[in-house]
Amino acid sequence: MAVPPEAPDLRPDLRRDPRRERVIGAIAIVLIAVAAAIGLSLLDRQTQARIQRNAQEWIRVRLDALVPRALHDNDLLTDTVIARSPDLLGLESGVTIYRARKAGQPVAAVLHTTAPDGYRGPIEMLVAIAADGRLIGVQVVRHRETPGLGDAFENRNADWLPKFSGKSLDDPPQQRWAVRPDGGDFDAFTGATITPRAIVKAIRRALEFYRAKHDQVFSAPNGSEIH
Amino acid sequence: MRAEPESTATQEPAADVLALFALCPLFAVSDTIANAIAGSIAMLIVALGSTLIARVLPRWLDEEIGFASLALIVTAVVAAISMTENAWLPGMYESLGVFLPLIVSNVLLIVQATRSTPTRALATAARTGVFVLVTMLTLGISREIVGRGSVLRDSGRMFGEWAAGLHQQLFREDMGFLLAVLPPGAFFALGLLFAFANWWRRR
Repeated sequence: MAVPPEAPDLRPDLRRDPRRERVIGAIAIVLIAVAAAIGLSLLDRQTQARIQRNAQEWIRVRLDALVPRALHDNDLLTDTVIARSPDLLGLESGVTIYRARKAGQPVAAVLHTTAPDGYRGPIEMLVAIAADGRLIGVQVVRHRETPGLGDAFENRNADWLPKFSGKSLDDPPQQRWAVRPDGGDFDAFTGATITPRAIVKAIRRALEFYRAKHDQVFSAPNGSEIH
Repeated sequence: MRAEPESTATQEPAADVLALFALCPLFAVSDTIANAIAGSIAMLIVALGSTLIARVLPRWLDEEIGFASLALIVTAVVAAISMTENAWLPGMYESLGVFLPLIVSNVLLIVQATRSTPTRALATAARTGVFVLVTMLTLGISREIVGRGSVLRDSGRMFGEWAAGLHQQLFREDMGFLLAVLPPGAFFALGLLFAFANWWRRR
């Protein structure tokens, strides 16, 4: 670090003893680290509850958009199970499933799942499946796809995701659950095939999981895990 | 950055250019005006906060642990801003959260370079911060208009409901010039800005 010529030399004499100097330096750095840690953990205590509330609000808004409140009478956020099924969902991590019921009867399951093979990283989405196995709707909630190409489902092809509503594993047949370039029934975007391929695959996997486990999805106790 | 406090006006641009290079990672975030404003204000707060806190340390510690302590302080300030933003401005955290840690290295370069003149450290940090804000704003405005045909999109999500009405669409989004929105667009825009600044200076 360049010391400007006019800066006064404030170093006290103890600075001349290199051993002492090193010890003081070490103590000082530890003190700074401890002060920073205390400050940050105090702030963490102040903000944690709010951050959790924000995250709940964030998911609640999106769930409401998919499964209208009129369709269910329970609180989706407090009626969940975790799906941990690498072979069916293709994900090592757990997938939260929000369960909608009316008068105790299953109405819909919303899988907060991820398409791991997006063009620029995972695509986080909500897949809402009605109790009879038909798709209610699909929402991409977080993604890093290329603006103008892979993110076409947000603007240029805004009618692409809504087309999934009403589809199921029988319509189209399971083997045609792929994008058109792969011999499936779903359009890809101009100039971007990887993104729609990843999304279609993740939706298909969510449907397959639901078909295999739908009994457990609704009967498993709140907060438990399904394998 | 400035070797001598009496640096003349002709030497100042050099300091600005250095700051520019230190801030290249931040410029990539300037794809919309809202992002540009939020990113540079976060940087300004971190630079000022870190400079203030760093000044509490006795100067003779500088040679031993100057850089290490500064790194700790800047990192802690960025972490604090990150938490605060996540709690009170979740929309802003959503779009900027992953970029906030980038500020650490940027600010570290700036604060380190200015720390050796304690009386001027704050002023220089503020000056650099405002300079960055203006540059980011210029980049953000041009990139958003050229790339997306809009002004102040997403500002409602970033700054709160009151700002939602500020979004204006000038022409259809898919008519925009895609390159301007992608990260490399920031550097093309920066290059054009440099060219313009040089032309202006020589005029």
